[in-house]
Amino acid sequence: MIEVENLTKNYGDFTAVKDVSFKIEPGEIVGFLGPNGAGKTTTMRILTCYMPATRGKVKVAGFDVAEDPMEVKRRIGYLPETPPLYREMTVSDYLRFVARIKGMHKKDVPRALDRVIQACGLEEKKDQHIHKLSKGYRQRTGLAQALIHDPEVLILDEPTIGLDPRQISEIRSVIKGLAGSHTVILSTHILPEVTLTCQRVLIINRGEIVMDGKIEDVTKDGDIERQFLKIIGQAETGEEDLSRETGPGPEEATQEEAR
Amino acid sequence: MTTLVLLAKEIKSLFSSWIAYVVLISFTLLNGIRFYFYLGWFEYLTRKAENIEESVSRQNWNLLEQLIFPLYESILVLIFVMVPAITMRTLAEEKKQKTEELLFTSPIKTTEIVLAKYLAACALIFLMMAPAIMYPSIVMYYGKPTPDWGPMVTGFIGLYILGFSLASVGLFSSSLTENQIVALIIAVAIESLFFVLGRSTINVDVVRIGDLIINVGAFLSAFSLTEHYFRLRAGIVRASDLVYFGSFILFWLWATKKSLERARW
Repeated sequence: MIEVENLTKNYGDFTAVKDVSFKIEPGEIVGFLGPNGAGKTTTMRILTCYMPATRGKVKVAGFDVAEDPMEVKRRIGYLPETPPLYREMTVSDYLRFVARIKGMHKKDVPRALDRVIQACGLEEKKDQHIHKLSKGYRQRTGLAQALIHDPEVLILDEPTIGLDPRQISEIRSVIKGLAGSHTVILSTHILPEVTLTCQRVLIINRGEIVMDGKIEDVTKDGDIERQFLKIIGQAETGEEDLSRETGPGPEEATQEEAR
Repeated sequence: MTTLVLLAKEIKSLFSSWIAYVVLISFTLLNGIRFYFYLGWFEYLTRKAENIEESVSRQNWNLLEQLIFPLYESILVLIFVMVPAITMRTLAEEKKQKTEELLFTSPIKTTEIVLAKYLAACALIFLMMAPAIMYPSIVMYYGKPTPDWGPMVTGFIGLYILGFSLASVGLFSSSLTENQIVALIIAVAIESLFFVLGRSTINVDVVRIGDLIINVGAFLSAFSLTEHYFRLRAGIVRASDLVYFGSFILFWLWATKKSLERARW
Protein backbone atom coordinates (compact mmCIF):
# COMPACT_ATOMS: atom_id res chain seq x y z
CA MET A 1 0.00 0.00 0.00
CA ILE A 2 2.87 2.31 0.79
CA GLU A 3 6.18 1.89 -0.98
CA VAL A 4 9.12 4.08 -0.17
CA GLU A 5 12.34 3.63 -2.09
CA ASN A 6 15.57 5.48 -1.35
CA LEU A 7 13.75 8.53 -0.07
CA THR A 8 15.98 11.51 0.69
CA LYS A 9 14.95 14.97 1.79
CA ASN A 10 17.34 17.88 2.17
CA TYR A 11 16.58 21.23 3.72
CA GLY A 12 19.43 23.26 2.31
CA ASP A 13 22.57 21.57 3.65
CA PHE A 14 20.70 19.61 6.27
CA THR A 15 19.56 16.11 5.38
CA ALA A 16 16.37 15.33 7.28
CA VAL A 17 15.74 11.94 5.70
CA LYS A 18 18.56 9.84 4.29
CA ASP A 19 17.96 7.09 1.75
CA VAL A 20 14.98 5.58 3.53
CA SER A 21 13.20 2.54 2.12
CA PHE A 22 10.28 0.59 3.52
CA LYS A 23 7.11 -1.09 2.40
CA ILE A 24 3.76 -1.31 4.15
CA GLU A 25 1.17 -3.91 3.19
CA PRO A 26 -2.56 -3.14 3.00
CA GLY A 27 -4.33 -3.40 6.33
CA GLU A 28 -1.20 -3.02 8.45
CA ILE A 29 -0.94 -0.69 11.41
CA VAL A 30 2.61 0.53 11.66
CA GLY A 31 4.14 2.49 14.50
CA PHE A 32 6.66 5.09 13.48
CA LEU A 33 9.10 5.77 16.29
CA GLY A 34 12.06 8.05 16.70
CA PRO A 35 13.49 10.84 18.81
CA ASN A 36 12.53 14.46 18.08
CA GLY A 37 14.03 15.66 14.84
CA ALA A 38 14.60 12.14 13.51
CA GLY A 39 12.62 12.80 10.34
CA LYS A 40 9.22 11.34 11.24
CA THR A 41 7.18 14.40 10.35
CA THR A 42 9.23 15.04 7.21
CA THR A 43 8.59 11.49 5.98
CA MET A 44 4.88 11.82 6.74
CA ARG A 45 4.68 15.14 4.95
CA ILE A 46 6.21 13.58 1.85
CA LEU A 47 3.80 10.62 2.00
CA THR A 48 0.87 13.05 2.15
CA CYS A 49 2.18 15.14 -0.77
CA TYR A 50 2.54 18.16 1.48
CA MET A 51 6.05 18.61 0.21
CA PRO A 52 8.16 17.01 -2.48
CA ALA A 53 11.07 14.65 -1.85
CA THR A 54 14.58 15.62 -2.91
CA ARG A 55 15.24 12.12 -4.25
CA GLY A 56 13.57 8.75 -4.22
CA LYS A 57 10.32 7.14 -5.20
CA VAL A 58 7.22 7.14 -3.03
CA LYS A 59 4.04 5.29 -3.92
CA VAL A 60 0.88 5.50 -1.83
CA ALA A 61 -2.18 3.40 -2.65
CA GLY A 62 -0.63 2.54 -5.99
CA PHE A 63 0.01 6.13 -7.09
CA ASP A 64 3.27 8.02 -7.23
CA VAL A 65 3.24 11.09 -4.97
CA ALA A 66 5.20 13.14 -7.50
CA GLU A 67 3.21 12.12 -10.58
CA ASP A 68 -0.34 11.68 -9.29
CA PRO A 69 -0.60 13.76 -6.12
CA MET A 70 -4.34 14.31 -6.57
CA GLU A 71 -5.04 10.57 -6.63
CA VAL A 72 -2.87 10.05 -3.56
CA LYS A 73 -4.52 12.91 -1.68
CA ARG A 74 -7.97 11.48 -2.37
CA ARG A 75 -6.95 8.22 -0.70
CA ILE A 76 -5.23 9.46 2.44
CA GLY A 77 -6.38 10.88 5.72
CA TYR A 78 -3.80 12.93 7.54
CA LEU A 79 -3.65 14.16 11.09
CA PRO A 80 -0.65 16.51 11.41
CA GLU A 81 1.16 17.21 14.66
CA THR A 82 -1.02 20.27 15.20
CA PRO A 83 -4.60 19.42 14.24
CA PRO A 84 -5.49 21.71 11.30
CA LEU A 85 -8.62 23.25 12.79
CA TYR A 86 -10.49 26.41 11.88
CA ARG A 87 -11.12 27.93 15.27
CA GLU A 88 -14.13 29.97 14.22
CA MET A 89 -16.10 26.97 12.88
CA THR A 90 -18.27 24.52 14.76
CA VAL A 91 -17.14 20.91 14.87
CA SER A 92 -19.78 19.66 12.44
CA ASP A 93 -19.38 22.61 10.05
CA TYR A 94 -15.66 21.97 10.02
CA LEU A 95 -16.06 18.24 9.35
CA ARG A 96 -18.58 18.94 6.59
CA PHE A 97 -16.10 21.33 4.99
CA VAL A 98 -13.28 18.78 5.16
CA ALA A 99 -15.54 16.09 3.67
CA ARG A 100 -16.29 18.35 0.71
CA ILE A 101 -12.69 19.34 -0.02
CA LYS A 102 -11.69 15.69 0.18
CA GLY A 103 -13.97 15.24 -2.81
CA MET A 104 -16.98 13.63 -1.14
CA HIS A 105 -20.36 14.00 -2.75
CA LYS A 106 -22.78 16.25 -0.88
CA LYS A 107 -25.34 13.51 -0.30
CA ASP A 108 -22.76 11.18 1.30
CA VAL A 109 -21.64 13.76 3.84
CA PRO A 110 -24.34 13.41 6.56
CA ARG A 111 -23.78 9.68 6.97
CA ALA A 112 -19.99 10.07 7.10
CA LEU A 113 -20.41 12.89 9.60
CA ASP A 114 -22.52 10.76 11.95
CA ARG A 115 -20.05 7.92 11.65
CA VAL A 116 -16.93 9.91 12.61
CA ILE A 117 -18.70 11.92 15.30
CA GLN A 118 -19.74 8.67 16.90
CA ALA A 119 -16.37 6.97 16.40
CA CYS A 120 -14.43 9.88 17.91
CA GLY A 121 -16.87 10.57 20.76
CA LEU A 122 -17.83 14.05 19.61
CA GLU A 123 -21.63 13.83 20.04
CA GLU A 124 -21.80 16.40 22.83
CA LYS A 125 -19.46 18.85 21.15
CA LYS A 126 -20.61 18.73 17.55
CA ASP A 127 -22.31 22.16 17.61
CA GLN A 128 -19.62 23.90 19.62
CA HIS A 129 -17.09 26.29 18.18
CA ILE A 130 -13.65 24.76 17.93
CA HIS A 131 -11.92 27.56 19.84
CA LYS A 132 -13.99 26.63 22.89
CA LEU A 133 -12.90 22.98 22.86
CA SER A 134 -10.34 21.49 25.22
CA LYS A 135 -7.14 20.04 23.81
CA GLY A 136 -8.51 16.52 24.01
CA TYR A 137 -11.57 17.35 21.97
CA ARG A 138 -9.49 19.26 19.44
CA GLN A 139 -7.34 16.19 19.00
CA ARG A 140 -10.47 14.09 18.49
CA THR A 141 -11.82 16.56 15.95
CA GLY A 142 -8.48 16.31 14.18
CA LEU A 143 -8.78 12.54 14.07
CA ALA A 144 -12.39 12.77 12.86
CA GLN A 145 -11.18 15.03 10.05
CA ALA A 146 -8.67 12.39 8.93
CA LEU A 147 -11.33 9.66 8.98
CA ILE A 148 -14.29 11.46 7.42
CA HIS A 149 -13.81 10.37 3.81
CA ASP A 150 -12.99 6.80 4.87
CA PRO A 151 -9.53 6.84 3.30
CA GLU A 152 -7.56 3.73 2.44
CA VAL A 153 -4.44 5.09 4.09
CA LEU A 154 -4.28 6.97 7.38
CA ILE A 155 -1.25 8.94 8.40
CA LEU A 156 -1.41 10.07 12.01
CA ASP A 157 1.25 12.23 13.62
CA GLU A 158 0.99 11.64 17.37
CA PRO A 159 -2.75 10.97 17.46
CA THR A 160 -3.09 10.50 21.23
CA ILE A 161 -1.11 13.52 22.39
CA GLY A 162 -2.94 15.58 25.01
CA LEU A 163 -5.63 13.04 25.72
CA ASP A 164 -6.51 11.59 29.12
CA PRO A 165 -6.09 7.84 29.74
CA ARG A 166 -9.72 7.03 29.02
CA GLN A 167 -9.67 9.00 25.77
CA ILE A 168 -6.37 7.42 24.80
CA SER A 169 -7.83 3.95 25.10
CA GLU A 170 -10.91 5.05 23.14
CA ILE A 171 -8.81 6.46 20.31
CA ARG A 172 -6.62 3.39 20.36
CA SER A 173 -9.63 1.17 19.93
CA VAL A 174 -10.81 3.38 17.04
CA ILE A 175 -7.42 2.94 15.37
CA LYS A 176 -7.32 -0.78 16.11
CA GLY A 177 -10.77 -1.11 14.59
CA LEU A 178 -9.35 0.20 11.32
CA ALA A 179 -6.90 -2.70 11.00
CA GLY A 180 -7.55 -4.92 8.04
CA SER A 181 -9.62 -2.44 6.06
CA HIS A 182 -7.22 0.48 6.35
CA THR A 183 -3.50 0.99 6.28
CA VAL A 184 -2.31 3.13 9.16
CA ILE A 185 1.00 4.78 9.94
CA LEU A 186 1.12 6.48 13.29
CA SER A 187 3.99 8.25 14.91
CA THR A 188 4.16 8.45 18.64
CA HIS A 189 6.36 9.27 21.59
CA ILE A 190 4.51 6.93 23.88
CA LEU A 191 6.43 3.70 23.42
CA PRO A 192 3.93 1.29 25.04
CA GLU A 193 1.33 2.65 22.64
CA VAL A 194 3.13 0.96 19.78
CA THR A 195 2.87 -2.43 21.45
CA LEU A 196 -0.81 -1.82 22.20
CA THR A 197 -1.98 -0.62 18.78
CA CYS A 198 0.53 -1.58 16.12
CA GLN A 199 1.49 -4.80 14.44
CA ARG A 200 4.78 -3.53 13.16
CA VAL A 201 7.29 -0.92 14.16
CA LEU A 202 9.65 1.31 12.20
CA ILE A 203 12.30 3.13 14.17
CA ILE A 204 13.93 6.12 12.54
CA ASN A 205 16.95 7.94 13.87
CA ARG A 206 18.80 10.86 12.27
CA GLY A 207 16.92 10.35 9.05
CA GLU A 208 17.67 6.65 8.73
CA ILE A 209 15.57 3.56 9.40
CA VAL A 210 17.39 1.68 12.13
CA MET A 211 14.77 -0.95 12.92
CA ASP A 212 11.92 -2.50 10.96
CA GLY A 213 10.10 -5.49 12.35
CA LYS A 214 7.06 -7.10 13.89
CA ILE A 215 6.19 -6.08 17.43
CA GLU A 216 6.75 -9.64 18.71
CA ASP A 217 10.28 -9.70 17.29
CA VAL A 218 11.16 -6.32 18.78
CA THR A 219 9.80 -7.09 22.23
CA LYS A 220 11.09 -10.63 22.66
CA ASP A 221 14.35 -9.44 24.25
CA GLY A 222 12.65 -7.21 26.81
CA ASP A 223 10.23 -4.30 26.68
CA ILE A 224 10.10 -1.86 23.80
CA GLU A 225 11.44 1.04 25.83
CA ARG A 226 14.74 -0.66 26.46
CA GLN A 227 14.91 -1.87 22.88
CA PHE A 228 14.26 1.62 21.60
CA LEU A 229 16.98 3.21 23.69
CA LYS A 230 19.41 0.45 22.78
CA ILE A 231 18.80 1.01 19.10
CA ILE A 232 18.93 4.79 19.26
CA GLY A 233 22.14 4.49 21.26
CA GLN A 234 22.36 5.44 24.89
CA ALA A 235 25.50 7.45 24.29
CA GLU A 236 23.65 10.12 22.31
CA THR A 237 20.27 10.18 24.04
CA GLY A 238 21.56 9.86 27.59
CA GLU A 239 19.85 8.66 30.71
CA GLU A 240 17.96 11.88 31.44
CA ASP A 241 16.31 11.89 28.02
CA LEU A 242 14.63 8.64 28.87
CA SER A 243 11.58 10.31 30.35
CA ARG A 244 11.26 12.78 27.49
CA GLU A 245 11.54 10.17 24.79
CA THR A 246 8.85 8.05 26.37
CA GLY A 247 6.54 11.03 26.17
CA PRO A 248 3.96 12.19 28.68
CA GLY A 249 2.72 9.40 30.88
CA PRO A 250 -0.99 8.99 31.56
CA GLU A 251 -0.76 11.33 34.55
CA GLU A 252 0.79 14.17 32.63
CA ALA A 253 -1.73 13.75 29.87
CA THR A 254 -4.53 14.12 32.39
CA GLN A 255 -3.07 17.34 33.70
CA GLU A 256 -2.79 18.72 30.25
CA GLU A 257 -6.38 17.84 29.58
CA ALA A 258 -7.49 19.53 32.80
CA ARG A 259 -5.84 22.76 31.76
CA MET B 1 -17.17 22.59 -7.41
CA THR B 2 -14.57 22.53 -4.69
CA THR B 3 -13.79 26.15 -5.51
CA LEU B 4 -17.36 26.99 -4.49
CA VAL B 5 -17.02 25.00 -1.25
CA LEU B 6 -13.80 26.85 -0.49
CA LEU B 7 -15.36 30.18 -1.43
CA ALA B 8 -18.32 29.63 0.89
CA LYS B 9 -15.96 28.80 3.73
CA GLU B 10 -13.78 31.84 3.01
CA ILE B 11 -16.73 34.22 3.01
CA LYS B 12 -17.98 32.74 6.27
CA SER B 13 -14.58 33.05 7.88
CA LEU B 14 -14.18 36.66 6.67
CA PHE B 15 -17.42 37.56 8.42
CA SER B 16 -16.55 35.67 11.57
CA SER B 17 -13.64 38.01 12.22
CA TRP B 18 -14.12 41.56 13.45
CA ILE B 19 -12.03 42.97 10.58
CA ALA B 20 -14.94 42.72 8.13
CA TYR B 21 -17.24 44.75 10.36
CA VAL B 22 -14.63 47.36 11.24
CA VAL B 23 -13.85 47.81 7.56
CA LEU B 24 -17.50 48.00 6.48
CA ILE B 25 -18.51 50.47 9.17
CA SER B 26 -15.49 52.74 9.05
CA PHE B 27 -15.45 52.91 5.26
CA THR B 28 -19.09 54.01 5.04
CA LEU B 29 -18.82 56.34 8.01
CA LEU B 30 -15.68 58.10 6.77
CA ASN B 31 -17.14 58.53 3.28
CA GLY B 32 -20.34 59.96 4.70
CA ILE B 33 -18.42 62.52 6.71
CA ARG B 34 -16.25 63.45 3.72
CA PHE B 35 -19.24 63.87 1.46
CA TYR B 36 -21.01 66.05 4.00
CA PHE B 37 -18.05 68.37 4.41
CA TYR B 38 -17.15 68.53 0.73
CA LEU B 39 -20.76 69.42 -0.07
CA GLY B 40 -20.87 72.06 2.67
CA TRP B 41 -17.64 73.60 1.44
CA PHE B 42 -18.82 73.58 -2.16
CA GLU B 43 -22.07 75.31 -1.19
CA TYR B 44 -20.26 77.91 0.91
CA LEU B 45 -17.81 78.79 -1.85
CA THR B 46 -20.53 78.90 -4.47
CA ARG B 47 -22.51 81.44 -2.43
CA LYS B 48 -19.40 83.56 -1.99
CA ALA B 49 -18.58 83.39 -5.68
CA GLU B 50 -22.06 84.58 -6.67
CA ASN B 51 -21.17 88.05 -5.47
CA ILE B 52 -18.13 88.19 -7.65
CA GLU B 53 -18.99 89.32 -11.17
CA GLU B 54 -16.64 87.30 -13.28
CA SER B 55 -15.34 84.37 -11.31
CA VAL B 56 -11.91 83.37 -12.46
CA SER B 57 -12.45 79.67 -12.47
CA ARG B 58 -16.15 79.43 -13.25
CA GLN B 59 -15.27 76.98 -15.97
CA ASN B 60 -14.14 74.30 -13.57
CA TRP B 61 -16.56 75.18 -10.86
CA ASN B 62 -18.93 72.26 -11.02
CA LEU B 63 -20.08 69.38 -8.89
CA LEU B 64 -17.94 66.91 -10.77
CA GLU B 65 -14.59 68.62 -10.25
CA GLN B 66 -15.25 70.08 -6.85
CA LEU B 67 -17.27 67.37 -5.15
CA ILE B 68 -17.21 63.99 -6.86
CA PHE B 69 -13.55 63.85 -7.85
CA PRO B 70 -12.23 64.82 -4.41
CA LEU B 71 -14.60 62.26 -2.90
CA TYR B 72 -13.34 59.57 -5.26
CA GLU B 73 -9.80 60.48 -4.34
CA SER B 74 -10.52 60.06 -0.66
CA ILE B 75 -12.18 56.71 -1.38
CA LEU B 76 -9.04 55.75 -3.26
CA VAL B 77 -6.92 56.50 -0.21
CA LEU B 78 -9.30 54.47 1.98
CA ILE B 79 -9.15 51.48 -0.37
CA PHE B 80 -5.38 51.71 -0.18
CA VAL B 81 -5.54 50.79 3.51
CA MET B 82 -8.81 48.87 3.79
CA VAL B 83 -8.11 46.29 1.09
CA PRO B 84 -4.87 44.99 2.61
CA ALA B 85 -6.66 44.94 5.98
CA ILE B 86 -9.24 42.62 4.43
CA THR B 87 -6.69 40.34 2.81
CA MET B 88 -3.92 40.33 5.44
CA ARG B 89 -5.53 37.53 7.40
CA THR B 90 -6.52 35.08 4.69
CA LEU B 91 -3.31 33.19 3.99
CA ALA B 92 -1.24 34.29 7.00
CA GLU B 93 -3.80 32.78 9.33
CA GLU B 94 -3.76 29.44 7.48
CA LYS B 95 -0.05 29.30 8.10
CA LYS B 96 -0.29 30.33 11.72
CA GLN B 97 -3.07 27.88 12.62
CA LYS B 98 -1.35 25.17 10.53
CA THR B 99 -4.57 24.66 8.59
CA GLU B 100 -2.64 24.95 5.33
CA GLU B 101 -1.51 21.39 5.99
CA LEU B 102 -5.12 20.32 5.57
CA LEU B 103 -5.56 22.31 2.36
CA PHE B 104 -2.35 21.11 0.75
CA THR B 105 -2.96 17.46 1.58
CA SER B 106 -6.50 17.56 0.19
CA PRO B 107 -7.25 16.85 -3.47
CA ILE B 108 -7.61 20.51 -4.41
CA LYS B 109 -5.36 22.61 -6.62
CA THR B 110 -3.40 25.56 -5.27
CA THR B 111 -5.07 27.64 -7.99
CA GLU B 112 -8.48 26.82 -6.49
CA ILE B 113 -7.33 27.90 -3.03
CA VAL B 114 -5.94 31.18 -4.34
CA LEU B 115 -8.99 31.85 -6.47
CA ALA B 116 -11.45 31.14 -3.63
CA LYS B 117 -9.59 33.46 -1.29
CA TYR B 118 -9.34 36.17 -3.93
CA LEU B 119 -13.03 36.01 -4.83
CA ALA B 120 -14.03 36.08 -1.15
CA ALA B 121 -11.95 39.23 -0.64
CA CYS B 122 -13.50 40.76 -3.77
CA ALA B 123 -16.98 39.97 -2.45
CA LEU B 124 -16.25 41.86 0.75
CA ILE B 125 -14.75 44.77 -1.20
CA PHE B 126 -17.85 44.85 -3.37
CA LEU B 127 -20.04 45.02 -0.30
CA MET B 128 -17.83 47.61 1.35
CA MET B 129 -18.00 49.99 -1.62
CA ALA B 130 -21.62 49.41 -2.57
CA PRO B 131 -23.08 52.08 -0.23
CA ALA B 132 -20.75 54.69 -1.76
CA ILE B 133 -22.80 54.57 -4.97
CA MET B 134 -25.27 56.85 -3.21
CA TYR B 135 -22.95 59.87 -3.43
CA PRO B 136 -22.80 60.05 -7.24
CA SER B 137 -26.51 59.13 -7.26
CA ILE B 138 -27.38 62.04 -4.97
CA VAL B 139 -25.38 64.42 -7.14
CA MET B 140 -27.02 63.10 -10.30
CA TYR B 141 -30.49 63.42 -8.84
CA TYR B 142 -30.28 66.80 -7.17
CA GLY B 143 -27.48 68.46 -9.08
CA LYS B 144 -28.69 71.27 -11.37
CA PRO B 145 -27.50 71.35 -14.06
CA THR B 146 -26.95 67.59 -14.04
CA PRO B 147 -23.22 66.99 -14.13
CA ASP B 148 -21.59 64.89 -16.81
CA TRP B 149 -22.49 61.33 -15.78
CA GLY B 150 -19.82 59.56 -17.87
CA PRO B 151 -16.77 60.27 -15.70
CA MET B 152 -18.85 59.74 -12.57
CA VAL B 153 -19.78 56.22 -13.62
CA THR B 154 -16.42 55.18 -15.08
CA GLY B 155 -14.68 56.75 -12.08
CA PHE B 156 -16.77 54.67 -9.71
CA ILE B 157 -16.27 51.47 -11.68
CA GLY B 158 -12.58 52.36 -11.75
CA LEU B 159 -12.54 52.44 -7.96
CA TYR B 160 -13.94 48.93 -7.94
CA ILE B 161 -11.31 47.76 -10.42
CA LEU B 162 -8.65 49.40 -8.27
CA GLY B 163 -9.99 47.65 -5.17
CA PHE B 164 -9.94 44.27 -6.91
CA SER B 165 -6.41 44.92 -8.18
CA LEU B 166 -5.14 45.76 -4.72
CA ALA B 167 -6.79 42.61 -3.33
CA SER B 168 -4.44 40.52 -5.46
CA VAL B 169 -1.42 42.37 -4.03
CA GLY B 170 -2.82 41.90 -0.53
CA LEU B 171 -3.29 38.19 -1.07
CA PHE B 172 0.29 37.86 -2.27
CA SER B 173 1.62 39.67 0.81
CA SER B 174 -0.46 37.44 3.03
CA SER B 175 1.14 34.38 1.45
CA LEU B 176 4.62 35.54 2.47
CA THR B 177 4.25 35.53 6.23
CA GLU B 178 2.23 34.12 9.10
CA ASN B 179 2.03 37.53 10.74
CA GLN B 180 -0.98 39.61 9.71
CA ILE B 181 0.62 42.95 10.51
CA VAL B 182 3.69 42.11 8.44
CA ALA B 183 1.37 41.11 5.59
CA LEU B 184 -0.39 44.47 5.86
CA ILE B 185 2.87 46.41 5.78
CA ILE B 186 4.23 44.48 2.78
CA ALA B 187 0.97 45.05 0.91
CA VAL B 188 1.02 48.79 1.58
CA ALA B 189 4.66 48.94 0.48
CA ILE B 190 3.93 47.24 -2.85
CA GLU B 191 0.85 49.38 -3.37
CA SER B 192 2.81 52.55 -2.67
CA LEU B 193 5.31 51.60 -5.32
CA PHE B 194 2.57 51.29 -7.92
CA PHE B 195 0.93 54.53 -6.80
CA VAL B 196 4.12 56.57 -6.70
CA LEU B 197 5.46 55.35 -10.06
CA GLY B 198 3.22 57.64 -12.07
CA ARG B 199 3.78 60.72 -9.93
CA SER B 200 7.55 60.47 -9.71
CA THR B 201 8.02 60.12 -13.44
CA ILE B 202 7.81 63.88 -13.90
CA ASN B 203 11.36 63.99 -12.60
CA VAL B 204 12.76 61.28 -14.85
CA ASP B 205 11.43 62.06 -18.23
CA VAL B 206 13.80 61.26 -21.04
CA VAL B 207 17.11 59.51 -20.64
CA ARG B 208 19.78 59.63 -23.32
CA ILE B 209 22.31 56.86 -23.64
CA GLY B 210 24.45 57.79 -26.62
CA ASP B 211 22.10 57.87 -29.58
CA LEU B 212 19.43 55.95 -27.75
CA ILE B 213 16.64 58.03 -26.30
CA ILE B 214 14.46 56.27 -23.79
CA ASN B 215 11.35 57.86 -22.41
CA VAL B 216 11.71 56.46 -18.91
CA GLY B 217 8.91 58.62 -17.59
CA ALA B 218 6.33 57.22 -19.97
CA PHE B 219 7.66 53.74 -19.46
CA LEU B 220 7.35 53.89 -15.69
CA SER B 221 3.98 55.59 -15.70
CA ALA B 222 2.66 52.73 -17.80
CA PHE B 223 3.13 50.58 -14.69
CA SER B 224 1.36 53.00 -12.40
CA LEU B 225 -2.05 52.10 -11.05
CA THR B 226 -3.07 55.72 -10.60
CA GLU B 227 -2.26 56.77 -14.17
CA HIS B 228 -4.56 54.09 -15.51
CA TYR B 229 -7.20 54.93 -12.96
CA PHE B 230 -7.18 58.66 -13.72
CA ARG B 231 -7.79 57.94 -17.38
CA LEU B 232 -10.83 55.88 -16.43
CA ARG B 233 -12.03 58.62 -14.11
CA ALA B 234 -11.75 61.14 -16.92
CA GLY B 235 -14.36 59.05 -18.69
CA ILE B 236 -11.95 57.46 -21.13
CA VAL B 237 -12.34 53.71 -21.36
CA ARG B 238 -9.38 52.29 -23.21
CA ALA B 239 -8.74 48.64 -23.84
CA SER B 240 -5.09 49.08 -22.87
CA ASP B 241 -6.05 50.27 -19.39
CA LEU B 242 -8.39 47.34 -18.88
CA VAL B 243 -5.72 44.95 -20.10
CA TYR B 244 -3.32 46.56 -17.63
CA PHE B 245 -5.64 45.95 -14.66
CA GLY B 246 -6.39 42.42 -15.84
CA SER B 247 -2.74 41.49 -16.15
CA PHE B 248 -1.95 43.22 -12.87
CA ILE B 249 -4.45 40.97 -11.06
CA LEU B 250 -3.36 37.83 -12.89
CA PHE B 251 0.29 38.53 -12.18
CA TRP B 252 -0.20 38.85 -8.41
CA LEU B 253 -2.48 35.82 -8.24
CA TRP B 254 0.13 33.83 -10.11
CA ALA B 255 2.81 35.12 -7.72
CA THR B 256 0.63 34.07 -4.77
CA LYS B 257 0.32 30.56 -6.16
CA LYS B 258 4.07 30.34 -6.72
CA SER B 259 4.80 31.64 -3.26
CA LEU B 260 2.49 29.05 -1.68
CA GLU B 261 4.09 26.23 -3.63
CA ARG B 262 7.61 27.39 -2.94
CA ALA B 263 7.06 27.70 0.79
CA ARG B 264 6.78 23.94 1.09
CA TRP B 265 9.95 23.02 -0.77
